[in-house]
Amino acid sequence: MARPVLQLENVSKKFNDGDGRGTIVALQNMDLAIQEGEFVTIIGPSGCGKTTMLRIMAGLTAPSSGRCLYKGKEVSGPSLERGYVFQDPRLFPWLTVLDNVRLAGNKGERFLAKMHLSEFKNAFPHELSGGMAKRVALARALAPEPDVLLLDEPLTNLDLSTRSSLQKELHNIWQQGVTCILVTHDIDEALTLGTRLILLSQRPAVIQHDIVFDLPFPRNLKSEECQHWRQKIVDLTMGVAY
Amino acid sequence: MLEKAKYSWQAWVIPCIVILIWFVLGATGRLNAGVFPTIGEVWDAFLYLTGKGLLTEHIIDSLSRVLVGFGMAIVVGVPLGILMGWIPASQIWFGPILHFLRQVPPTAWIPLFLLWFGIGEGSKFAVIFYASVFPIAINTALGVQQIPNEYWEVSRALCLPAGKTLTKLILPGSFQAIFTGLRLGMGMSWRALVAAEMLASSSGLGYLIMSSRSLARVDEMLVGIAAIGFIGMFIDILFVGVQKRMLPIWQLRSEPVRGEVHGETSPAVGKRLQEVQ
Repeated sequence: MARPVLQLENVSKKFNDGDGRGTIVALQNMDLAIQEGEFVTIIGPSGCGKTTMLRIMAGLTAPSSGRCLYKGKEVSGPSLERGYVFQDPRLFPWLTVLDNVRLAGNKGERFLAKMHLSEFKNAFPHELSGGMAKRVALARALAPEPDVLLLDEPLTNLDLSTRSSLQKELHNIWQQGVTCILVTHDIDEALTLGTRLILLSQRPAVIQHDIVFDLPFPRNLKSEECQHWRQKIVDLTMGVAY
Repeated sequence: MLEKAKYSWQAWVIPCIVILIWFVLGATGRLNAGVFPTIGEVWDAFLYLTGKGLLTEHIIDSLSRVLVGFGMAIVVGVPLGILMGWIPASQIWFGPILHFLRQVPPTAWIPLFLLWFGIGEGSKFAVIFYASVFPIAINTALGVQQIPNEYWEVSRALCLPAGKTLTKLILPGSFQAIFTGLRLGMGMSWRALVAAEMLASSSGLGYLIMSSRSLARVDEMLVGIAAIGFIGMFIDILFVGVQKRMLPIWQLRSEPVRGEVHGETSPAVGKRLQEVQ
C-alpha cells in the first residue's frame, strides 16, 4: 500500500474544563491512516471529538500525545496544503467576497467562478445567503490548491436544495484529485459522497468502525445497495448509542 | 451628522433659561460688575477679541499644538496598542508601567516638562502627547483583543503572513475601538493643553484666560471659557460624525459569530475549554 497522505499515530487529546478542576479526554489513542484519493467521512455522537480530530489533522490544535503525520512529516501547524473549511463560514465581514477568497492566493477568483459566485464578488458577506457564504468559504479553502480538504460539517443548517448542490461541488472537488475528509452526522451525506466511513464512539472518541464502501458514483440512495449500507450503518450507530 | 435625539429642541431649554436669568439679573443691575459681567459685556468682549483677530490667533495656536502632540500620540499609541493586543505576552512588559503612568494626570507633569522641554512649544506637545497616548494605546489594545477568536483561526488556517494579518484582520477588526481611543484621547489632550497654556505660555486659549485674569477682565475670561467649550464640543462632534460616516456597511448587519472555542464543546460541559499541552 502507498504511503498514507495523513496519519494519526496513537493520538490523544485532553482539555481542561474552564475551572481547571477536571480534564476532558476528547480523543484516546487514535490510529488512522488516510490514503490519497479517499473521501473519508467521520460520523460520531455530538461532542465526541470529531472536530478535535479534524483540527489536529489541520494543525490548528496540537495533540496532547501521539503524532499526526502529513505525507510522512509531523504536522506542527496549519499548512496551505491542507485546506480547512470551518463549520460556520467565518468570512471577514469587512472584506468583499473577492478579497476574502484572495486572502490565501490569487487563484481565489477562479474558484469563485467555479462556485458560480463571480457576480457576487463585490458583495460583502452580510449580503450573502447561508449557502452562498459556505460556497465562498469553500472557494477560500480551495484557493491555495490544497491536496487535502478538511471539512467540518460545512453542510449543516442548509436547506435541502442548497445542500445537494454543495454536495455536488464537493464530489467534483474530490474527483479532481483532492483527498477529502468530511465530519458530518448525516449518514445519507456520508453515503452520497464517501468512499470510507469512520464511526467514532462517545467521548473519549475511539474508532469504533472503519468501513470502506466501493459503490460507484453517482449514487442513488434509493438503490438496494445503498439502503443495505444505510441500514448497516444505522445499526452500528445505534450500537454506539447517541 | 448630529444625533437628532441629542440636539433636538430640549437641548436648548436649559441654556436659554440660564441666559435669560443672566440677562434679567444684568438688566436689573443685580450683578457685581467687577466679578460678574452682564451678558452684553461678554458679547462686546467677544466682538472686540474677534475684531482684532486675537481670538482667532489664540484658537489657531492652541489647535496647532493639539495637532502636533496628538499626531505624535497616534504614531506611538496605535502601534503600541496593536502590539499589546496582538501579542498578549507583551503586556507583561508594558502593562504595569502604562497603568502607573496613566494614573498621573498630565498637569502633574507640566512643571517637569517645562524643565525638560523648555517654555516653548516642546512642553505643550509633551503634555498633549502624554494626555492622549494612553487612551489611544489602551483602546487599540482592547479592540485588537476583541477580534473574535474565530477570525484569528481563519488567519492561522490560511497561513496569513504578519503583514496581511495586520491589514486584513487586525486594523479593520479593531477600527471602531481605535477610533474611540482617538476620540477619548482628543478630549483629554484638549483639556491638558488649556492647563499647560495657563501655566506657561504666551498664546493660546489658556493663556487668554490667564492674561485676562491679570487684567481683571472677567468678560474676556468668559469668552475664553466659552471658546474652549465650543471648540471641544465641535471637535467631538466632528469625530463622531467621521466615525459614523466611516462605519463600514458590514457593521450595520454583521454575521453573528458562533461561540465555538476549540471545536466541539460537549453540551454537558459547555464551558470554555482550555488546551492541555
